[in-house]
Amino acid sequence: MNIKTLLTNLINSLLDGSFERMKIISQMNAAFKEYFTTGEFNRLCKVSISQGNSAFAHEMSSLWIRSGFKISVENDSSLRESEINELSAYITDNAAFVRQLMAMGFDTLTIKGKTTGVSKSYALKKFANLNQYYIR
Amino acid sequence: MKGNPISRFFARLRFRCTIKKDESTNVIDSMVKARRLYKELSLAAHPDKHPDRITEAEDLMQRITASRHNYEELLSLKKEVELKLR
Repeated sequence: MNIKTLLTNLINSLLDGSFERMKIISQMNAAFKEYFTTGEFNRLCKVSISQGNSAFAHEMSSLWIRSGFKISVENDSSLRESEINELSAYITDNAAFVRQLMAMGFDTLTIKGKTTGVSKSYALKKFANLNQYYIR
Repeated sequence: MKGNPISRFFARLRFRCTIKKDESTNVIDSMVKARRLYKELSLAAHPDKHPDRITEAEDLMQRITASRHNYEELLSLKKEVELKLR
């Protein structure tokens, strides 16, 4: 492999699916902000790309530095683990959304309190009902 | 895809209009609104409230519980509850 091919592959893997990812993240951030400002939801959440857990990787995972789908709770005082579990259930119970995230290269879902550091990570492949289709 | 670039552009535009809306919107709607709707539906469809249509109520109740984290599915179940149990 020459240096040109290496660089091309590197750029491709870095940019692959980026626009789709940014679109979904900005949509979600706008919706979270809207619901927070109108008073319908008391937590302000922000979605971003983070590093994933290599133990949660699957065939469609992108590079580990950008395979995490992170939801950060900005006003996280008195954020309990049970609340994190409940927030995660809205994502993990929706198999269509889990598959959508996996197709975009995400493998880890992380929900984290911004200042308290309360955090939990989930392997997306566990919730997609695709067990028999995975090699690893 | 056949045709000139303009007709291809309009074909793509039509396709984009017909595809389902993004699932991410449903996830956030679910986080915000599903809990309240689930409580409302589980009260409305409780089998004890419908002794004359108990099998329908039990079936609906099971489906409501299974979809308690999915707002769109709860909305479609709400229509079913209104049709079958009211």
